Amino acid sequence: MKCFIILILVLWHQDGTAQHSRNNNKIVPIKGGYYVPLYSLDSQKVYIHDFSMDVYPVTNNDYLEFVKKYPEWRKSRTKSLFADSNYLQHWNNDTTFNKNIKNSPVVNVSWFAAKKYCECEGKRLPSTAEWELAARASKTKIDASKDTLFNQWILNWVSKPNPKVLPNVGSTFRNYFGVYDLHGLVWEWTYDYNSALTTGESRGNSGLDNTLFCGGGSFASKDLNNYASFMRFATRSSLKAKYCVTNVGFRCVK
Amino acid sequence: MLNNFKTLKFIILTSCISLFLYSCGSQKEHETSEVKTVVDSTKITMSNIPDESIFNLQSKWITQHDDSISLIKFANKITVAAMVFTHCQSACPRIVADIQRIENALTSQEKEQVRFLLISMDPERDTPPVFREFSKEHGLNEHWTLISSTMDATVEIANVLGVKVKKLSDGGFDHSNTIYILNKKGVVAYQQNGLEVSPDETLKQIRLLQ
Amino acid sequence: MKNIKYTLNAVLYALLFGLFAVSCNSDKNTPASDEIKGEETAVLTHAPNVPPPITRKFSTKMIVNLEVIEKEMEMMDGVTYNFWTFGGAVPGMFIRVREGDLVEFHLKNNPNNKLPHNIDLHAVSGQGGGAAATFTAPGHETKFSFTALNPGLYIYHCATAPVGMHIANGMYGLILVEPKEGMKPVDKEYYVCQGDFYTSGKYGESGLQQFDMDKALKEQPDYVVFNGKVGSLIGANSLKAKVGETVRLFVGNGGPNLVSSFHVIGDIFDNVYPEGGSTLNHNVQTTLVPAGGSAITEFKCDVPATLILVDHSIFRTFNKGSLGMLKVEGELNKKIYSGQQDDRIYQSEGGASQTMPITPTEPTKPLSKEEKMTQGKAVYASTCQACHQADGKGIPNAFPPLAGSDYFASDPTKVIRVVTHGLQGEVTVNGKKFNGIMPKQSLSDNQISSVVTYVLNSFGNKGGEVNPSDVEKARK
Repeated sequence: MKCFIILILVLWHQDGTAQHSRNNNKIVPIKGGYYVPLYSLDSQKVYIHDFSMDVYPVTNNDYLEFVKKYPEWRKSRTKSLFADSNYLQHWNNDTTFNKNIKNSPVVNVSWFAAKKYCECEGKRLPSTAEWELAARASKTKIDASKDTLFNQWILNWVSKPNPKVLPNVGSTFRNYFGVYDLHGLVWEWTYDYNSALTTGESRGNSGLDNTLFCGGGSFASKDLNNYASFMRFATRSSLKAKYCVTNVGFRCVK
Repeated sequence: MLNNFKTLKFIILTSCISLFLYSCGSQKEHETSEVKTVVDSTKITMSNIPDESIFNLQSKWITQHDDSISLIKFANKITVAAMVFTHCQSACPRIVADIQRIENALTSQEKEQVRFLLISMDPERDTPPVFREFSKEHGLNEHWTLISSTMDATVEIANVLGVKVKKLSDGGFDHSNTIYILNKKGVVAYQQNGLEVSPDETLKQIRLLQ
Repeated sequence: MKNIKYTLNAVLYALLFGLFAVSCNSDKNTPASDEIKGEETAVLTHAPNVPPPITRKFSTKMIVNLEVIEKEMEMMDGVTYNFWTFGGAVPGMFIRVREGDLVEFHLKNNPNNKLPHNIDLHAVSGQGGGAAATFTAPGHETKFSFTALNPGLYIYHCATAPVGMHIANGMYGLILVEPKEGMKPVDKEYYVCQGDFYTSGKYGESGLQQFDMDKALKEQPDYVVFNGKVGSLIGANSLKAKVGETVRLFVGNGGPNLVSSFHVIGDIFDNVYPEGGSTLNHNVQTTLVPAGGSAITEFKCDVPATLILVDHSIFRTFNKGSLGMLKVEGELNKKIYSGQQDDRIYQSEGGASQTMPITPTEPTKPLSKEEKMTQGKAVYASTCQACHQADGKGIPNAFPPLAGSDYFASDPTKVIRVVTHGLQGEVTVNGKKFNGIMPKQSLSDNQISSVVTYVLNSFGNKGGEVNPSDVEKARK
């Protein structure tokens, strides 16, 4: 434990060079703006400040560097409180994996692991609102959330089962902000992935059960036709923080 | 709207700050309180807790008595825990009442083996004086501990327990209403979901752990 | 303000809950004799098969294991779709339990799936029919238990947002809760489940089709099919029975949108349990199967025939795929059904004199090939197209293609005979076997010569010309 703290401290004071050698992930600025969370009303829109986001999801290679530095996050050592038994299950062992996935997004990582990774990079996990703000940009539009073709493209990806081998990061498209792979590659963890208080069956959400949830005022979604967005919220709310899932990866923001 | 904006800023800020606290916070000042509570010969410490124990969380918490503690303090007894915020008008007082119902059903001998723990999801407002006021209002006795920490630690423990929390613009929270039974090693042994559930099954589970 | 709202909410919920509790108590008496004895793992079957009847006379713990699998499968020959399934096929696997059983349900979400899923079983009394309790991330398994309080035939389906899309992609199936007294034994039981599908391409457009949300919202499906696929119950896949046997069909309708007018051409349902409930109705021709609902139909097969299962909202049947077959084999019974006994010239009363043309009859002028093509096209559209399709490609497993058909390539007179005499029994066209019935067509020699000429010169066929005299010859 003490070692770990020292390592963090070292990282904290070094920044710069250490990070570059470990992670090729560039960040790009994302322009802030208003965002209305899916399960809420217009009046609950939130303002998101400008922030910076990783251009790509974190790759297996990036993650390997992380576990080399922080051995407590190797698969043989990670505590079951923080990651279930599927943690890095696609890796051969603590530090090796099939080399053809080296530039594929890392998956089978828990929220705790993703959060820790970002912290150790001097970054953090994006909030759901931030992630959605960046992800509503298409190739050409800053907000394509009402664009039928854009949404259909995402739905088409969602409809397909996972490929046997995940493609490399950067294999989808570069969006308006210069960010790749927000759609079409893997789902991604967000810091508050479970804050949409869906009961898991989505139909009762508009009159949320007051005995299960405190509050539960307004839960209607206005954006009923944004199926792609429903899928992301459904996926996020199906997760628990220690889950490691074959198509859930992450990226960081600053 | 302004509130939300503030909230977000707060979350971002606290997560940055707490990153520092959480990973790098000094442990020294809390060790005394740990020593104080552990009197059994078969004592449970950080070195012999299982991987799935919530005591693995390294966050620091402050109690209603202004004590700064680690979660390992709750080892060696059964803990009945819930996440609440004291400003809650509807569900939280009912959760507290539900826990009291459990407490009242235990014999005095059984009570010696059990602790009651309220974890705040509202660290901004739930300070020790507020906790003390709340304890008085609800008649919480010495078996109860109320704790709060940083936002990041709060989010983390909510995730470990599987409590869903959503901050509302009016300062309140939407959250799941669950009572957790932790065994002496900090592992969740049972959870009672929803309000006004008969405590029979929960009591049975507590007695199994005795 | 907020306070008042909360209180109000709480009161409302309490009221609702109270009501619910009361009605449940009065309705469902679960006597003490319902002791659960032992446990077993439920046998699940893919459509059209049904697990064996339950002979047990006591309640047990029934363990159901169902896996969600997302996979690309055929919607029809040459057309594929990314289906989401309960158990690897559409409809989902058939579950059979007994009233009073304690069902321990395990929902497994395959690790290679992209999405979370859950299950709402209409047979469950409880929150969301189990949906919230089974909300499962990929690579996870959830469990919940329920007591099968009400007997009946129930739909189950996925209820994860967006619910419509999960159902539209095939996530539904049937669970039967047999009444305690059991069901009357029958000779054959089959599982048929209808569903509507919304694809980016039109009906028949080959290749991988994507879900089309716009069509789904407008409720304009491209496919309406039984058991997840055009032709799933046709040809070699037809249901089978023998004369004298009683058949029970467990019919479901997953929707997501359409209500089915379920009908079996060539028989009458002796018994129907409408909507899968406990009421028994008799002598029914067509029964409604609501979206998210079911029906149980029973009928005795009296004579040999190929019975046709259809949604009698009939364009769905002939243009969107909702057609299945049940082949009944055995001895003819002419008393019940004679077959055609006579075919003669019919003239209305008063006969010839009234129908005499005003102008004296001249031998009709023979039509030019061009005129035949025009007339033939019209005849084709009104008489042939429904089955053989506008593009002459027919319907796989049901109606043979005329386009590029090798069946008559060498001998055009074969087509004439088929039109004049009809065709029954197995034929092979372009390497595919068909075993249906084409009735003889009541067309004039002129009309037949035109339509055959049209067929020979259309759809990429080799050409040729047929005269009324050829038709006359073929009639003999």
